[in-house]
Amino acid sequence: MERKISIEQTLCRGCNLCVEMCPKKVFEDGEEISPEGFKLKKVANPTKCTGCKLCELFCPGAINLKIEEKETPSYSPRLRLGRGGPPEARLARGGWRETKNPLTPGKYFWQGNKAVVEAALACGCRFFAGYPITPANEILEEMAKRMKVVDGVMVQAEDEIAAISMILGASWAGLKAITATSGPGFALMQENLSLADMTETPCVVVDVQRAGPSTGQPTRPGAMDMREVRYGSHGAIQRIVLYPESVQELYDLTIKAFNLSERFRTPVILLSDAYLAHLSESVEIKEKIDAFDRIYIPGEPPFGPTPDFSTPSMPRFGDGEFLSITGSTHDKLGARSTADSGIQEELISHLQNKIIKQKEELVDCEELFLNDAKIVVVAFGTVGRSAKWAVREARKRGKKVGFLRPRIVYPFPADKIKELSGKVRKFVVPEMNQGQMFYVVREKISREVVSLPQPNGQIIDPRRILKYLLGEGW
Amino acid sequence: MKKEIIFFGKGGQGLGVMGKILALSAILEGKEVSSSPSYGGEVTGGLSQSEVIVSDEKIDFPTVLEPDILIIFSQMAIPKTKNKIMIFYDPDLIDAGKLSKNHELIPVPATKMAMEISGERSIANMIMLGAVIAKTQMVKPESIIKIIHEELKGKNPELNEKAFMEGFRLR
Repeated sequence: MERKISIEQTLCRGCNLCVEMCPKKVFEDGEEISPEGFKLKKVANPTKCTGCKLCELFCPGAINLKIEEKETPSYSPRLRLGRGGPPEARLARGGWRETKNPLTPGKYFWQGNKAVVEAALACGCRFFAGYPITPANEILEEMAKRMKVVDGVMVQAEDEIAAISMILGASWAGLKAITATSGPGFALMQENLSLADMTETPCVVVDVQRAGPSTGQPTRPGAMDMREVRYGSHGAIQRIVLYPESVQELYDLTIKAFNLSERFRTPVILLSDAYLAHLSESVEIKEKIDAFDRIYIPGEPPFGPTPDFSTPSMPRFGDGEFLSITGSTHDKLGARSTADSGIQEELISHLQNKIIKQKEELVDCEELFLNDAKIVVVAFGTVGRSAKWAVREARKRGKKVGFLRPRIVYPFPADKIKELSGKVRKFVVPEMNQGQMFYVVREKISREVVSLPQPNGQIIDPRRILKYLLGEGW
Repeated sequence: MKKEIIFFGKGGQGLGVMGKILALSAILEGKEVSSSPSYGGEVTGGLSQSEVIVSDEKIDFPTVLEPDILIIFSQMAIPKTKNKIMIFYDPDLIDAGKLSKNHELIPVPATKMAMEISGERSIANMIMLGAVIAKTQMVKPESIIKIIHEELKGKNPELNEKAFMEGFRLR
């Protein structure tokens, strides 16, 4: 890269601003005096120039700085200028690593909320901020006890807005961060979840759903936020949402949520509900965990768009990069650009595509008896337990029914459902709400889709689903 | 083998501890266990119910649908079911005449025995648990004793073990 600095002598007023402003002392007083009597400046050390353009910015018009790029650089000289920090920060880091589980492998008897905490700590989460809300309280309580042991930080924030802000901050400081809340708290977090989308900040938000709307029945389960988690935020960027069915899965999917969030640099929502949160079950803990840490390559631009919709490199504060994190539309260096339609479109396309392009990889479904099924029950999370029981019983009675449960709810496994719809007569969607995922299933296919809603704050009795499958009404 | 068990009684009678010790012992033997919540702000101090399912295989639905075993310290309405339920009850607290004769009724004078052993009611739950294990053989008594010593550390596990063995010998 070559930099050509020229001072137009007829325009130089000898104001000394360039000498004052240049951090590298490129300019000095020259020997020549202009016809007007100004002491002209000269370029004394052109090789020291870093191309920061401060001189050009302050000069009333005489300095012309041209940077001729021999090859397209992958990062701006501006970033290189700021390289400081500890030597180890200059090394690239991140990626998959196999880590030892801090707990002794074996079987444990845990409540759902406890499993979330242990899983988070096992894959390296060291920051929790949250505000108490039933039924997510035990996560906060357990975090308070456990974070102390592992030398992490637990903050009881003043409200949910502060909690999510804190975990975004912690994430940029280099920590894996998590918060837990329920429906009303999740609504408060929506604004900053959009900020996390826009700034590509990895974090995990646990939404322990209860029977709503509003305060509703705090101790009773529901699946009332099934669409809010995907479409609730302004911008409605593609999100990754997981919904486990058992305490074992809560453990496994919490780890998966962290891995996905670190890989795609996106907030990941882990759904749970009042029933699952307080259900105690046996959990098998393995000796090794595969964990993914965000990738950082020194000097790489910290934001999208990237040429192939891959996830950009993520520095942390203290790495010595110039880092500007803004919720406004920005280019890949983080510089605001609030009126350029091209940049806006490129950025949105990047945020959307970095997840959608990987959608094959993001299909994770539990399937039962799908080979010859004529009716398929599509269930999410806890309702899957009821549905699975009902489907097995219906099979014993000779009914050709199948069972499909996406563990990753969003991106919705549309291809999977479309493929099934070729041979299936009817889809049935039982839910602990007034019919939310029903619409998501229906919009993907042209087969008959039946909603089985039960918004009464109770887990669906599997015998009720069985009765429906055997031909009685809902 | 799959057993669905309901514990029913008043808060403070040690039902939660009983359920937990049973669950942990089953896990120790490699079984699958589910214990679904029966929690609501309203019930604290009043009547409480806890449920445990112990199974050799993965448990599809984790809440009790048709109980196999009832362990009751307070009068309760017996769930309507075609199954023959084993009902363990304390004859000093329960009017057996009100319990349905279609089920297998097993009286365990736990409170009375507890008073005889130590003068404290608090170990009645362990006596009851001993009787249940002896009758149903869900888990080995050695597992229960191991868990009692782990879980009740500092809360006189020796006395609890003694109470458990007294109950176990009833059968």
